[in-house]
Amino acid sequence: MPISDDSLKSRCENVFGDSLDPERRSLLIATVENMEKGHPLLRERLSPQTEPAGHAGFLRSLAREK
Amino acid sequence: MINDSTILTAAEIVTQIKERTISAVEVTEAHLERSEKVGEVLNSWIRLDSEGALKAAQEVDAAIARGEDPGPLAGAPIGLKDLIDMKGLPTTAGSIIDKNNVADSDALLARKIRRAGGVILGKLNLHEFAFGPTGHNPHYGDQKNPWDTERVTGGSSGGSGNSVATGQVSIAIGSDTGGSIRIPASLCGVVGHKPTHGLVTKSNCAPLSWSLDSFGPLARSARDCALMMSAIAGHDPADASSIACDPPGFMGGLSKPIEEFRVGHAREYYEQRSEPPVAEAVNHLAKTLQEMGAEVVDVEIPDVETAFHAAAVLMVAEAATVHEKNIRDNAQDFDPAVLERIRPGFFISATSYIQALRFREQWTKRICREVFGGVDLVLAAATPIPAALRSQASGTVRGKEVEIRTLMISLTRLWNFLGGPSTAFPSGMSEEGLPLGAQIMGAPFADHHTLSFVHQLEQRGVVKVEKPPI
Repeated sequence: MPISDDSLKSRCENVFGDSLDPERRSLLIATVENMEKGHPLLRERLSPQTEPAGHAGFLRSLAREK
Repeated sequence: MINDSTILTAAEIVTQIKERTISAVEVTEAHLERSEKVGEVLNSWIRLDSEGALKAAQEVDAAIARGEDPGPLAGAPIGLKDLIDMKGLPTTAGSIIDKNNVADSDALLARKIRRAGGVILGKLNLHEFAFGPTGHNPHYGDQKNPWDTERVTGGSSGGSGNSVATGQVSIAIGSDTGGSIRIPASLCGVVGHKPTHGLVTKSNCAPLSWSLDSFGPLARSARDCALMMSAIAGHDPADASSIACDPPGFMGGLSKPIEEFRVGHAREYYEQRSEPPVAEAVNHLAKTLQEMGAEVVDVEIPDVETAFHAAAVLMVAEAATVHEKNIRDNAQDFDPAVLERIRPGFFISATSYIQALRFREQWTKRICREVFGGVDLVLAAATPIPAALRSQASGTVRGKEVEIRTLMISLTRLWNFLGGPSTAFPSGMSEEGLPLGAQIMGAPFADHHTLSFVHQLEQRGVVKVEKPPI
């Protein structure tokens, strides 16, 4: 979901105490959007029953099998 | 007996101390002297604890005099990355924000090392909050590469890498969230082991990203890494990510012959992501393995780009969560470059983070089935280029310019996402005389196999840890 410049500015002020200049804000938006690009790829690859904490459970099951 | 104990491995030091050909105090004094001299030049340390180290060494000598066994690390000089609590000393995490944060007890990791007879010399320098793969630090000085002080050590465990390479300590403990043990090991020319996630305690150790962090050793041999893993691996009920299992037999596992390994050569994974001399060194190693009788087959790691994206989402979102309070209270005291790396974590959507967690399990199962169903270990390069200049903002790989921090973690981050073990080791030298690094990666809990693989190559003279000129 695209981030609006206003919402980014306000969150930066809230957490960091600065609002960043417009150039750095657009760089940050590009970074976040690049990271979020993986989201649809992930969605396509996941089965509905996959649980969020499944990785830790899987490692524990491997440890038990040893 | 060799007079200069700073060139010995930990295993050699322990043997000589137990045979009483040298005392733990003598070893500690020699390493403290080297740390004061060389550590100053390389910005290796945030704090040396000379008094505490000498007291611990005296206790080792006293135990030996009483006929007691002081433990498997008896008198070995050890450095801890300054994320790990040591009673009475501040845990700075490489930041000035926490410079007065004095620990009221040892982290279990430090206690285990002391119990095994290890002598802790102090707290090693790092990239601020372990959030950076180069070893830059505006507060305690950039960690400098012992092969060329104008170059980076790699990070974030830069002090761990350069102190081990120069004989200030025989073993250092680092942490690895995206490559922070393996990158400095590779760039400084030593061995670094990132353990299986959950195998080594993280209690009272400052986190960067809970689901990706692992603490482990850097040393001048795989045997020394195994020696340290024997002391520190094991369940810690106080650590939520610690796994209740019997750790593998690290020392016993070292004897597995190289001919018994089926090695997957992840050529496609690293070749296009690394410069030709780095790739050629690994390709040459793969050929040598075949000549030695190991079975080597090409393997493909599925869905690398998606896993890489998901790992980045986990890392920045968790780092933002870890540091939110600090940022709200003390943003002005952060290294600005680190602050900018944390910032995107505040804008990752909750659904992206959760999808990344969900994908992680599915992908890990797939790797265990599709990759480790056919091979025991996977061979790849550890870092795509040798150590960059400290002033360098980007690097070039196969003609493509990439921002330096993204470049440095491009071959290591994946195994943090998997949660499996990986041992980085020297694979040769570049034309400029800088170390090149490879890594051998295993399925979760195959730590003893990755260490055995490197140990066997060391025994046959294929892998050599060279001494830097400093």
